[in-house]
Amino acid sequence: MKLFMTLTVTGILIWLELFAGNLGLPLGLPLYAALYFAVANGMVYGMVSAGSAGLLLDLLYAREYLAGALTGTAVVALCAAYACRSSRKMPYAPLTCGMLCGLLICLVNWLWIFFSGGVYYGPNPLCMLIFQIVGGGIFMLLFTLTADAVNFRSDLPRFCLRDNRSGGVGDGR
Amino acid sequence: MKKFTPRKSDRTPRIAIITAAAVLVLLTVVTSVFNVVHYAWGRFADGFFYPYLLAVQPSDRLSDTTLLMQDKSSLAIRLEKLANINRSLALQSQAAAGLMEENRQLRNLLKLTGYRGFKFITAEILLRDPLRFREGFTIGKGSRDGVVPGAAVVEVNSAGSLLLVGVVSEVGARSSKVVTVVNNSLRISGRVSSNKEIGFTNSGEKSSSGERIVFGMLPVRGDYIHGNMVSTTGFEFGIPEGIKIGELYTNGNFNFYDQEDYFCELIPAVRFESLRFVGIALPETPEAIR
Repeated sequence: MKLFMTLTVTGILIWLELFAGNLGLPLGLPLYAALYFAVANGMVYGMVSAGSAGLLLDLLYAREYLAGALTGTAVVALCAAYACRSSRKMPYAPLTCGMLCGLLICLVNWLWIFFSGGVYYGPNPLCMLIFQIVGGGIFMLLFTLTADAVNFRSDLPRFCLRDNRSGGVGDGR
Repeated sequence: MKKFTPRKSDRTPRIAIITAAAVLVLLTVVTSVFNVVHYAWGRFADGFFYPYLLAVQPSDRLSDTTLLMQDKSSLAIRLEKLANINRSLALQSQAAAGLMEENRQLRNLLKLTGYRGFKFITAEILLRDPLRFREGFTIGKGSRDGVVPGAAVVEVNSAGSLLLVGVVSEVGARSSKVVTVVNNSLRISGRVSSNKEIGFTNSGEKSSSGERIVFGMLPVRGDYIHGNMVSTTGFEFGIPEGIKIGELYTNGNFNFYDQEDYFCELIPAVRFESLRFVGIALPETPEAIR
């Protein structure tokens, strides 16, 4: 059930990411879901989600290197490590994790453009950075609210803890 | 001991500073979000309204259904009218065929090649990498439609002339990858309209900036004027002659004389942001494949 949820949600977010990509916005939506699954279900699920999403996007966009898969898993691992070491209470935890994830996605995108010799064509870079940070926090909050509600009904682990435990990866039950 | 409590007048500037900072942060966030949403909405609306504009065009299906409601005599009258229209259209078609033949003969006399030997098909852009938005994209036509690697990808402007978008780099059965002229990996020859000199895009040490393409390996001359048109030479396989690549940009500080070659920049003729459909030039005769 966990794997089914992970792959289904990742697939839907990859589709949305392709749609946003055609508008010129590299939002990195599947990585937020991967972060959620890494914290709620366990790091393996997060890595599978981030890796498969990055790999699929790299293949679809015919990128020369598998940068998406590698940087995606690194971003999710960093954010999940931060989430597991900090308080996992609503709404603080998803908001800060989402903001951190958004910041890292934006920085990784710029690094990728810089090292691949490309040119950035999106909106104003500073505006994009702020949008990614604020939007990342809000998106992660909404995603966590929805996914936690579904997981509660499906008796699956959740992102946010109900008590004050600062539990580790995958113990959000 | 008496506890220190700041007076109201002491707290007022602090509250004002905090409020001002909060308003500033809020304004920055709102402006940033508006900037990004405005950017994305512009692109979304560009493609979104296309099918609706297409749907409001009059179609034959509508007139065919009204015929079912008419009686025999009115149908006969309409038939007569249509026969008359058909006759006048046939005459016009015959005249156009005569003009076409005359045009062909004149082109042969002047030894103008034009786009002869190529047929054009249209394709929709399926996928664009947001990290390389102007440097390449995937189109929905592949080897099943006759697309070959190296085929020119073009756009038609409002005046009806062709503009070079890029070249097909990889071909699949149902889709193909296109490399645009601003991509540093694409090097094609171009002829300057004013003095007929030939140079190459993306040549030299400096890479294209995205807004402009590096254009170099030109013979050293003093008459490369800003705004001169540069078009394809037809030397490359699959790229017809005379397709506009861009205009010379010689006002910047980038113009320098090497020992033998002259380098400058080109402003691309195509607006890559608004591209939705493109044309592909497919070589159909051996003379098109040099």
